[in-house]
Amino acid sequence: MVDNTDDYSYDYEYLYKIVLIGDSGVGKSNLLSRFTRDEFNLESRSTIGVEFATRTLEIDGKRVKAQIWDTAGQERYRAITSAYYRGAVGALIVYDISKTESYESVSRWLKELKEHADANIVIELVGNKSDLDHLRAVPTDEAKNFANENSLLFTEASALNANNVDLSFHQLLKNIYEMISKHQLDNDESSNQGPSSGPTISLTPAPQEKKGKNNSNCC
Amino acid sequence: MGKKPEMSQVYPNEFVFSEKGGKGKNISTFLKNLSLTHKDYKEVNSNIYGSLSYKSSLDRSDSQSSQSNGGSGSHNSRPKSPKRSISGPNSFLSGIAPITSHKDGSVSPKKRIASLKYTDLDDDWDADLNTNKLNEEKDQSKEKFKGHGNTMKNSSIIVDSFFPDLSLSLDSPKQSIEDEDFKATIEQNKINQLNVKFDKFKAILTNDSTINIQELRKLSWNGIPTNLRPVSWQILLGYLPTNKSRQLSTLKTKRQEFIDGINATSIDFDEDGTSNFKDNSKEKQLYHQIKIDVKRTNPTIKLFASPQVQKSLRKILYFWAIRHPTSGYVQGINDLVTPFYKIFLGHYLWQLQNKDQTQLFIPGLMDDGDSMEQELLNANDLINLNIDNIDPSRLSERVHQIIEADSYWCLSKLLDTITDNYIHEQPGILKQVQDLKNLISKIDIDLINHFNSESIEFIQFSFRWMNCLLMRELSIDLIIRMWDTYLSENPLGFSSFHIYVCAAFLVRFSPQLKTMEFQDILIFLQNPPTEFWTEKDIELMLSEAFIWSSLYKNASAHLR
Ligand SMILES: Nc1nc2c(ncn2[C@@H]2O[C@H](COP(=O)(O)OP(=O)(O)OP(=O)(O)O)[C@@H](O)[C@H]2O)c(=O)[nH]1
Ligand SMILES: [Mg+2]
Repeated sequence: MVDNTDDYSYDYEYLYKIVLIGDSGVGKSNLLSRFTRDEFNLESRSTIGVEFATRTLEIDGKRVKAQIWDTAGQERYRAITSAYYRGAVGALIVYDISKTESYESVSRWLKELKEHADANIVIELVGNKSDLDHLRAVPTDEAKNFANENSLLFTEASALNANNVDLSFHQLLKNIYEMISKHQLDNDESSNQGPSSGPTISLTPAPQEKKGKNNSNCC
Repeated sequence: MGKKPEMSQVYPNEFVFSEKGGKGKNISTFLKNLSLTHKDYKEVNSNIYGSLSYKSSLDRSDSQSSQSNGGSGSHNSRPKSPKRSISGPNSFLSGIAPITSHKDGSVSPKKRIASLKYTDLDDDWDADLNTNKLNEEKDQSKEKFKGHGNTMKNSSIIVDSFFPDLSLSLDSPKQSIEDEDFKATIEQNKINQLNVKFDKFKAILTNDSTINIQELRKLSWNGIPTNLRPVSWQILLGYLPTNKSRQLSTLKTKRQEFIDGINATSIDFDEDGTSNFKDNSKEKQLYHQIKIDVKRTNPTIKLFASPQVQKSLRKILYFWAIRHPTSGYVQGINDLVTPFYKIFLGHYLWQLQNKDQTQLFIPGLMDDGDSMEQELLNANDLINLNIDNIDPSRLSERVHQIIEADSYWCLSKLLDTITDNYIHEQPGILKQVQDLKNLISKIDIDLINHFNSESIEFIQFSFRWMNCLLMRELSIDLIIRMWDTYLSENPLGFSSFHIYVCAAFLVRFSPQLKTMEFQDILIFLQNPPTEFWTEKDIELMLSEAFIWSSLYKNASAHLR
């Protein structure tokens, strides 16, 4: 895996937009800061609306840039945040293993994705705060089964002690990469773009044209 | 300093006059003519001011502000500095350059008139309306302007934005930078000015029977002296009555109402007070959300890490949420309560240290029968206590309750002016975001074009600016200074005036932003470099906001 401290523009071959969703307080922002900056903050502030961070890493010898949108968990912000699902190729649904309610919300988050995200978005279920095993309220197997039944990737992780955080993101990105490569092979002749620009998926809510161009520059 | 508005970007049909003096004369005519065409302006202007007060920019020099509001203007004069004149559209525009570029130019206070749109609210009351029979005789001096609910019909206008007094906040003229004597003089002047300022506030606040709220608003625009801020805010918000004889009784009633309301919830508000709730109940969810947010409220400030203070915040937020079910608790409201809590707690300490200043006290805070208070009064470190070093557990439960109640009511008053921000789908914020974009397209079209080419959407960065009133972008002390002005602009300060402030904030970073790409722009705006900002930066931003609010009123539909 490659660090992104020198994250030069377009120093990547693929750009994937990812959304982080889940109930308020489950640790989405800390997972993100752990992944992108290797930071954890017990006293982070709540996320208002949407925040954004990136990290570039290597998958299959390719530089893949993850553009991750961290959303506010509170119900009131749903209208704002769901607008960001569009164009996302991956989603992390996060719950807190010590909070049953946050796990019970997972199906609601899945439904949100069905309604607002692209149909073939790759989804991973992440049970965060695995360091709080002594307070565990959600058994690993139960969550794992749920993930299997719903074709979700699954990990338990801890933003606090960094356990499995990189792995969670890596696993998601790798699956996206493979899904898109396969998808692209399947559709090779129907694609009017060169094979190298095909897998690049965007991005921001509406910037397809511009970013598409940029990306093809470097591919 | 941010980018100056460019003349070429101003649409001639959308001028609104900035006007001076006027004393509210013929205001309804003015309101009718908020939107003027170019050729109307002379006529309208003379309707408002008569011919004598209108001057074109060409004879600006002799149009001194003899009829502008004395208020904060009178102590800021440095005789040689250019004063702005009243002007029609043309001259107002040409007048901008001197204001924004001559840092040494002191500026006479200006008045603005804004129309008012106000929604009735579930929790709407005004200290000055709960008049009991005895006090109900006509109070001539009191100018109602808040338009809270039923006041609307008696007072169709609110007056006043008061032009920023730049003399306090800006550096000495460039040419004198080397001159030590001059510097010392400037320093001395500043101190004198602060003293003069304090005395002016004091004069208003200690006026025998009724506080002149208009005067108070005027002065407050340019910042309120720290020690007089808590009482001033309470008055500006309509929590503390202007009528002295009713102050104590009103506050007692409101505080008791809060305490009774809290008791009625039968929640203990402890850190893990979840045992108070039925499983999966709405209340449990609400309490959980508040609990995790209070822990994440101003986490770097010691005061807000105190268990007592966190408990207080939980009470305030929970009580507000259950009393305002249409919006309920929304993240970000936790930020908004902190300035009140901080200054009210600080005010209590100030009272303990200044027992002789009772006429400047928020009433009913001190109590001889409070043994913890006696301990504080006798403590060796009393004189050194302040908001940054106080251990809140040294304050009695009684005092905590009062501070909670006062913070609660003031928060409610503030939120009453922005209810649309927190209801379902947050229409108020969406509209503000759009208004900001419209405004920027007039002020800085290049920035808009750049944002467009980078696919930046305003909602991506300014949603939070509206939702938390820039509290995530600026330190709490700067926010507190900003609120002096917002409260002077009450009730539009936190809604429409805020948009102009956001515009000034954004445009300030415009040169950098224009060199950045999508991702860097968002990351930059997520964490703008304000950590070294001082009150001067804030005051500059407020001044700029003021200018734009005068120029572009029509850009903002709130003011229609
Ligand atoms: N023990 C433990 N605490 C964590 C972990 N991750 C986050 N937290 C804590 O949980 C609280 C909430 O974390 P955030 O990252 O702010 O939660 P969020 O999901 O982003 O919340 P919203 O922004 O409100 O949606 C904070 O106090 C964190 O310090 C973890 O892995 N272990
Ligand atoms: Mg968050």
